[in-house]
Amino acid sequence: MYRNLTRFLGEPYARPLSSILLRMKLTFFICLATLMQVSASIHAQKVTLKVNNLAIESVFAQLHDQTGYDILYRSADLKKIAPINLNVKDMPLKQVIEKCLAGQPLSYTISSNAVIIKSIPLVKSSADSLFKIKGRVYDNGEPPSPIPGVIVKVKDRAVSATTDPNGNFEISVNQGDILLFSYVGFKSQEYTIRNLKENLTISLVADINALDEVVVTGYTERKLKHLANSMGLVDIKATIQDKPITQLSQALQGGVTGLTVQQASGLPGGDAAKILIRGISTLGVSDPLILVDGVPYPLDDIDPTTVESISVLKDAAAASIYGSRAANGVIVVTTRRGKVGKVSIVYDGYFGIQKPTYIPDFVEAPQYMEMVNLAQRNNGGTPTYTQSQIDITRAGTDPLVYPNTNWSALILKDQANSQNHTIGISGGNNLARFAVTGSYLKQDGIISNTSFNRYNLRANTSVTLSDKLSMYLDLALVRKESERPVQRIGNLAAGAGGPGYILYETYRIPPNIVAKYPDRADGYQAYGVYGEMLNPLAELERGGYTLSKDDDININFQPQWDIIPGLKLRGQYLFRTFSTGSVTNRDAYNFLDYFTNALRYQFGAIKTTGLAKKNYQYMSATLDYNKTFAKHTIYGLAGLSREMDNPSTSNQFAEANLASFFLKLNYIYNDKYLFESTIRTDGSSKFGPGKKWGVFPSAAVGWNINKEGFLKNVKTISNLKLRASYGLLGNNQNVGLYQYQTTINAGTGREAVIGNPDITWETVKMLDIGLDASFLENRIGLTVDYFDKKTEDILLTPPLSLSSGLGSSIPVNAGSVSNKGWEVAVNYNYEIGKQLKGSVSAGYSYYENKILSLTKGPYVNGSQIQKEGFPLNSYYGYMSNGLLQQADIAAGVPIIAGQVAGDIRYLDLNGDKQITSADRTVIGNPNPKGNYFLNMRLDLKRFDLQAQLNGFTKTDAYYTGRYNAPLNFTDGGGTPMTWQTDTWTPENTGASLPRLTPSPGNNALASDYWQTNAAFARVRFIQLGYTFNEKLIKKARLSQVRLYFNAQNPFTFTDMKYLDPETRGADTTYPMMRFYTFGINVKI
Amino acid sequence: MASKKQQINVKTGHPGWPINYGNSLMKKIYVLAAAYLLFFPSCTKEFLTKDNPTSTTDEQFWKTEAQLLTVVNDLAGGLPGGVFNFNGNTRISFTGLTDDAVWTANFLPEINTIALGNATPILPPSAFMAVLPFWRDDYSRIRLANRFLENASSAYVDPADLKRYMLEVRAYRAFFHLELFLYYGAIPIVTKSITPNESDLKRNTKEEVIQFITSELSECAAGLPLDYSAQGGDIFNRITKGAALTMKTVAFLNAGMYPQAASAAKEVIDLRYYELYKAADPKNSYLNLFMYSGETNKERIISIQNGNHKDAFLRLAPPNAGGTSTVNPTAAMVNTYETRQGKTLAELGTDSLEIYKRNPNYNDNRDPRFKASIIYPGATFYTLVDPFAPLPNVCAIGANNSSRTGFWVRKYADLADRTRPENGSLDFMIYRYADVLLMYVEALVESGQWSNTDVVTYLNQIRERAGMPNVNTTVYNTEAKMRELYRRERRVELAFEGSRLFDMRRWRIADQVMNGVVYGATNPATGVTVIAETRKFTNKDWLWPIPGEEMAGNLNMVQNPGY
Repeated sequence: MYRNLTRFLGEPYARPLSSILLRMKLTFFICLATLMQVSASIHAQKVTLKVNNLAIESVFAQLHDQTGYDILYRSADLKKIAPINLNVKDMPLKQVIEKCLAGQPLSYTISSNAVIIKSIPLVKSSADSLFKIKGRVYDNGEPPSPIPGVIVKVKDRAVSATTDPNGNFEISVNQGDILLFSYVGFKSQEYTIRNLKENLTISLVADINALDEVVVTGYTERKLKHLANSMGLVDIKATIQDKPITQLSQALQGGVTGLTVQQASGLPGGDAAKILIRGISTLGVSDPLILVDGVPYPLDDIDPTTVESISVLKDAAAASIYGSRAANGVIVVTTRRGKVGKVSIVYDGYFGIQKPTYIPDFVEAPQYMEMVNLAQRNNGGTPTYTQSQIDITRAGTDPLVYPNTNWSALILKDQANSQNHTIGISGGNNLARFAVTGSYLKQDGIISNTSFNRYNLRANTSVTLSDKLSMYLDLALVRKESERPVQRIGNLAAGAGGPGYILYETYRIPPNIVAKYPDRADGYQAYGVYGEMLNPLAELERGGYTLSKDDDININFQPQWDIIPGLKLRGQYLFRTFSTGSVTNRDAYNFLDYFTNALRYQFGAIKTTGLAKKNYQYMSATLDYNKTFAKHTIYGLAGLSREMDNPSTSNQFAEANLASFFLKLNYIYNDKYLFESTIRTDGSSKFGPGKKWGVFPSAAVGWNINKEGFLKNVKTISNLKLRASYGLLGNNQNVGLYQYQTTINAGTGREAVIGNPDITWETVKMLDIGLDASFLENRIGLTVDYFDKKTEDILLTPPLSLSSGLGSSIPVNAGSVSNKGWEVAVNYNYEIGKQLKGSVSAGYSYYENKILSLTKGPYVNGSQIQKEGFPLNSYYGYMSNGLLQQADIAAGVPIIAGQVAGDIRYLDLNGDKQITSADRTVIGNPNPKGNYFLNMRLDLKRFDLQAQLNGFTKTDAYYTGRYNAPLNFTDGGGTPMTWQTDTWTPENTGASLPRLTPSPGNNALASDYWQTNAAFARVRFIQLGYTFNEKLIKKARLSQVRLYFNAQNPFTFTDMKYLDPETRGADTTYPMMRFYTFGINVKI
Repeated sequence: MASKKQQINVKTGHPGWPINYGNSLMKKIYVLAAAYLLFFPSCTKEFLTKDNPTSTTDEQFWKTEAQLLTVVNDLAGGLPGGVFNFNGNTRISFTGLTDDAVWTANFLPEINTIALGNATPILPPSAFMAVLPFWRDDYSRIRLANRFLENASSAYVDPADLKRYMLEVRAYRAFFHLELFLYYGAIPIVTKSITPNESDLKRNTKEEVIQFITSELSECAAGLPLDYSAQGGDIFNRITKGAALTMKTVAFLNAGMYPQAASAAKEVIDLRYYELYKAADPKNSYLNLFMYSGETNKERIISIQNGNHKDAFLRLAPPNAGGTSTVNPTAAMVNTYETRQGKTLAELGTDSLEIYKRNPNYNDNRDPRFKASIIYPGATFYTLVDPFAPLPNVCAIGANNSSRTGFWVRKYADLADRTRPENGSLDFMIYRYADVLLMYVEALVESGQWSNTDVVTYLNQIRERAGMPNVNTTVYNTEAKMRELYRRERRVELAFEGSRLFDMRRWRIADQVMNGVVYGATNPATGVTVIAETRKFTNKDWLWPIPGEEMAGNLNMVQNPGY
């Protein structure tokens, strides 16, 4: 079999190859062949062969059989070789090949498992081809600096040179030579001479010890060992790089402790995850501040392949440089920049299928009809369906009159495709560097008319204007196109959008409605009528679609002036304009009765477009100074910034401005004692006169214990740091614009906003104590943090009596919340021999929140309560004790007036012998207290296996909507799912669900009857990758080729049976997806 | 790390790139940097003052007559509608709360919940809430009215017009109080725009509430015009003198203050402005009153203009005509209609009763208001409506979009709307003259004047217009018999128009009529009667619960008994 493969491989190679693409294809095949061979044992390199007058191809085939080496050649090259006569014994392969090719203008190379035969171009002799090449070597800093003293050596030849003080070198080389650059403190680098270019530009990457690692923090980069604050670094390689990520937020699920990342839906374009840093600590917006290259930017608009680093600033000391923006923590993202050196082209692509983690399984029509009859009987009414109707339906003999429709199968496809293609080009010289990345993501939905396309373009340019001046000019464009079905009736599935609306209809339309009648002779298509034509198939086919295009254009300009060594002035100006346009298109359709042709319903034509626009501007100037004098290192930063935000797409003149001044001072003694302090003051136009300014100071201390004399000689401890911080942070995200003013809706004369001139900043006070340790040359790492966070002056809208007519829209600073918790992260890297290495990292975060005070509390909002002493957004409702039985009713247990046997038995908590709204209590906490993750990576030779697991500990979740009230006729109906059939009847008193009724009555009230534990552990992904032998792909002029298969969310372990425990939700929730992808990364 | 001091090697640079800037550029940069730094701290105060660029503040609002009219129109929009159009407060829909009909829609589930006796202050969430928005919206309009009254005088408007606007707004405010009173009992009276600190309002007594409503309405009636012809004609949702007096009658009557109710009703009658509508063909008078042909008439006192009624056909009509059958009359309602001869079914005996059960309009011998108000099995509405015909039959009882009782509401379903079922333009009459006459009759009877000649006179006027014989005074010759007659007459004449809920509470019969089995039509072939549901009425159900949101936000609010 293998022989055939060799021949087969030989043939395409024999054809003239003109395009790179073809070559890539070939490479791909070679790679595949190699991939298949890897498991084969290492063949002997000695050959014993006796042939007489045999064609050289056949000789090669025998050589291959003996050695296992692939022999690759162009057939044309071998044409002139006469048949071979050979008699060798235990001769090395190399010599055999030489014998075969003797006297021919052919050269060969032998790699680890292949022999490649090439014709020698008829050019100058090898001595003639020596020529002088010039070049310059830089570091990879920004702006890059030349490195003097770099040793430049020609590999396998005794020729070398050294760079001069300006980094220049000159050396004689041959085509095909490999240059080796080495310098202390930098990683060695190879460069293959391919053509006779005169000027080489080489950049060397600094080889940094883990402790000297430089990380991106607020406004600057700092050495990790000099930080006394709590920050987490996302391991880009483990969680983002070369992974099929549709939304970057999802990728943060298992990287850093203290993050709670939860996806609420699997909707294409709506599958972003919500991120919380150290839990919720306020009632309103609790999203962290996300900065990309220094400016606020939506995390999910970033093309994941462009991410260079992600730092999570968790405590007050780390975040307070962002003052009022930082109350919920800060995520600092930087994007990749071009480096000095040759142009590199990278392609990343994947193709995959998404499959829902669950699909509702509804009862079939006959059972549905029986359940309806039961419900009607339970309600004291006449059964709706006769036995003969049920029988005919069951027999399926008259599907147009007695249909049995599987709506779930009709509306929800069992899989949808996704693909992503990214091409990045980067490179540059000492004057200008660039990194341009374009990507295209396409996600289809499991519902028709539901899809998402995203186009990203990022062009980061760095220009050196002089030795002291440089600047970045970055352009980022994002276009997002979403297609959605029209949500015809806004009140239904409120807030869930078109796909949620279709799901809502799918859950409620009965199975004994015809989806679509056969085409009539005149071509008219009739649909089954349900309610106001609430037939999801008719909605999808005749209800039109909405297509929206969101454009986000960013220009980010960052000049930098190195005034004197160590002193830098940086400026930044960002302009963003965001616009969104949409078109809704529906043709008019008359829904006629299939049998009588009478008009049953009409869809009018909709042809509308809309356009909205908003913008954002940011300006800042910072001056920072960094200097080490003997044992003293000082770092200082002073800055100011201005933000002009126009958050409303409907009014370009509605602006919120923010003015900030900040100062940071660090002092480090002997790398041992660390001291940090920050102060920031923010003024916001969202507040009224006298309330605009807030001051947010912080301080932190750290102690690198391992630098102390008594630990210096303990080799097992590579690092041991204790740190503590305390500080204040602010929050004004919960305040809308103009809340200090009372304004009138001019169309009605009503108050649009009833203002409160006194509102001001929410303040977070936060203490953090942490320990960082690493052992055995950093092979084992441990980080532990404890935090105590208290949010004061929370902006709330206390419930006001409806009878005052005020509504509840008056914000006041009226509460405080405590949030305490701890985090622990460990990691372990190991290497077994040269072939096997791996790493494991795990984290656990725990937090507990509690409302400390609440003006005019508790606040009850439906099934949620805000109450002192309880977690935020606690569930509020009745306690239950199973179902009421006839004996309970007879015994006179307290009930809600009107309840009968088979209803939920609520508990009379206040002991007044009746169940009233006063018997409700706090019944659960929806905030997961603990969450954990586990990352694993195993590299074996060219294979890499990666896996991630994460989960939440016990969390209370509730079944709502059609998950607790099936058959809810008076609220649109609802087909029971197959698990909802075990209902109470006098014959089935031990049922798991209350009696069926046409409307749920009091059984759908918020109660712990519907409570479930949403704890889960989920295998987030498993990925198997293979990287090709570099020597092999070099022939195709590629420097890296990697293939992978990734399964996202393949397994979930949970008690929550009927919905996804992460998204939870109800009958409007677009399910979470399992995602199976095949991907490729190619680097040229 | 290499030093940054080194000079750029010009030779390796690309030709044409400006590398050697020299001193002049550096100077420029110093200047720019300095300017950059200086620019920032300045103008901070202006930078941080960003008032709303488009919204109007309170002081700027009350300036023009147009602005005042905006408010008046918003208040007028708060009057109850006919059938549901994404607005809970609709009178025909609310008939499902009474023994006249069953609510079969796939929305407003609260109507069923309450009718079945399951009302709670916190109802399970649904897409459309009836109970809560009612309380919230009426009080929010009361606030708007109060703010109007506090600020309107600063507008530039003719003093006479201002005076009229003020009276109109006070009348709306009184009406919203009246409506709240009817559903929830004694409620807080709100006569000024409340500040957050004063928002824990207490309930006033029933007497205070009625006193407030009626005295306000009396004052308004004194100054309001008879109609708005001088203001541009066809404005029937604005409160006129007659409307204010009618509302006052409703208030007194439902408070059990019958003599005052009688005199208020008499004031309306004595305006001599209103009359019962008569069609060109008197046989059609009652039917046409609710159709386009009778839309313009002198009987309407106040009506809501199509906005809250435009779905009438879709919601009411049977599915064969493209409707969704949301309000299904009950057998109890159907059996209330007399024969053409003025006999009740009970008077006729069991044989006749059985015939009329199987064929409600047997020989077309029922009160003509029956077929003008109800579509029954065997009636023709667009096509033959037969809920008992075999499948495929869209009108089968219990079928999707069909009636659960086998009856449909005919009133306000004009076949002219069949091709635009969601976009009718028929107005819904909130109060009409016949209602006033019936309230007058009731008030007379209940204040001991059952033999007052006005009682029979006005009952006869109504019966005559309907095509019914005069009151048989030999049968209806006691106070009790007269009470029985006016109650039946009121139920029949005003069927599905929204009065029944208050009537059955006022007459203290809700506990009888809202308890037990609700019957629908009888299959003429089998004699089997459909049972729609079985209702339960407990003492709490005399009033609606105060919404949980009010209870949560108002420390002084006391919940109605039983919730």
